[in-house]
Amino acid sequence: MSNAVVQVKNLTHHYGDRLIFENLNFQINRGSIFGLLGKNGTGKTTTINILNGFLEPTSGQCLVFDEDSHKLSPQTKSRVGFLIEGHIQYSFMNIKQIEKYYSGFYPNWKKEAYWELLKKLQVTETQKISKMSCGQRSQIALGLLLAQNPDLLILDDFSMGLDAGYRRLFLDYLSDYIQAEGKTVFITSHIIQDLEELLDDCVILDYKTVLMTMPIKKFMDEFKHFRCILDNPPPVIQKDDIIKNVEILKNKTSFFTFAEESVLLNHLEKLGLKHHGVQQVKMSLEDAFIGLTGKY
Amino acid sequence: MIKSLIYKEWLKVRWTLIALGMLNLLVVVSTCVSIANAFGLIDASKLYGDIVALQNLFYYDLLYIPFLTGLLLGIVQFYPEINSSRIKLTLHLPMKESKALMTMQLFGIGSMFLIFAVDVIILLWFSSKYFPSEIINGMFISILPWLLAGFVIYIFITIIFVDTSWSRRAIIGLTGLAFVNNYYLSTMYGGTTYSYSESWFYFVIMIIIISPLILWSGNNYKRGVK
Repeated sequence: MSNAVVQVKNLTHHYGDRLIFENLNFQINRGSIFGLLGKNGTGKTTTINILNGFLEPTSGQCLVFDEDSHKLSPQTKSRVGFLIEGHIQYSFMNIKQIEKYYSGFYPNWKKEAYWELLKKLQVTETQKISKMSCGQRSQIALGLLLAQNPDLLILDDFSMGLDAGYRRLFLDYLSDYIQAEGKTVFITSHIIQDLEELLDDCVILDYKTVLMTMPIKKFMDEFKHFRCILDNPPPVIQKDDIIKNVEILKNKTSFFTFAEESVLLNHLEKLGLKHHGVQQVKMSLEDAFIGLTGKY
Repeated sequence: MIKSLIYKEWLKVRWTLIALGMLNLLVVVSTCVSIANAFGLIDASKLYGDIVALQNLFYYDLLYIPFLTGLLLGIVQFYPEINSSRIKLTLHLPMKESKALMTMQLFGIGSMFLIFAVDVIILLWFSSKYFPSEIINGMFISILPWLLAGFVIYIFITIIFVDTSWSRRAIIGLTGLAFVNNYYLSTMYGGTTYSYSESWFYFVIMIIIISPLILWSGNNYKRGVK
């Protein structure tokens, strides 16, 4: 049996003439937590929609549990839990009704997982979802996913609209669940800071392109930020194989690279960029993400 | 699973269904009162003459009520599904998408059938106290297309809401109105008897044919076709 839960092969998508991404390739292995990161509009939700069979890609293939994502069988769909961006659920239902509704679809429904999570909320069983805050709705959506007990969780921008407390609560429950049950998770988020401790692997998307695909630890070990003062800074410094991104702030220039310090400095010499005061800056995942994708 | 899906649809539209049921009942009772008043004031033979010779019909208040019922039920049932793309939740359920969509639509059709059946039973039962069976038969044939128009507009609303493209929605909407128009070609007693007594069967067949078009819309949604 294949270890791959999700396989994305040469995926390309256009909306009309507008290219969203080209030749996206990645694989999510059983038991791993995979992040699809990118700024707004880079194709995260498009990828999720293709993965769930809600969009036919322009070209390429997407397999979920070895089935074409556009033709998932009911059995496979029962193994996939899906959180829609914004924690969308049926707002006309109350807490009890929505649990009763979903329990009818999943034979292995774990209602105690749902109710245990909901105990934390200051809500009554008959409270309508439409009357709840975004944070409370996120817990309802998560509780339903935990009760479904799927093998693969697809979470589309779980952090949308959540304050720091609810984001942390969501992630705490999620990571407990993943560790205990050995589940596979595919997660997108535009708030990167929460994911550093959670992710195993990630893809970083930029507009129309894939910037990198690698284990998160490798990315954090190999991607570096060097800051220095250039003696005669040119108006523009081009990106290349070594300089992945560059930012100039007043008299200080930041270089983001996968190369070692010596390789970068030699490269700067070759480009005729005289410099001094080089120092490596420690980065969080969010710093590294912005370093790679740029601020704009 | 179907039971759960019906449970969701019921929770979503129950108050609308009750309100529409009340509206239908109100119009039917009002029609019955009109009939009773007319027979209290005017000689029965004169009224029979009006109906047969002048093609007068006592049920005109009901004319657009089924249409309104289908329109509102369709909107209330399917707008929450497309709002914030909630229909993805339904399409992601572990059942065939076609089965889920058809169940939702059949729930609406079944609900309307119940409301309209009550309308017809009350009207015909009350009318039978005043009219001979030939006239009642003609009246029933006359109002049947109005009731069927309710189903037609409901089905078109479901198809429009599930689809993703505004241009296709506009075309489906215009087609729907053209379809519905057929059901209102004649609204008079005698004429309707002649024109509809033969054709109501085809009207029903048309409904059966258009109903599964929701699967085509569902497929467009799934493919993300704009």
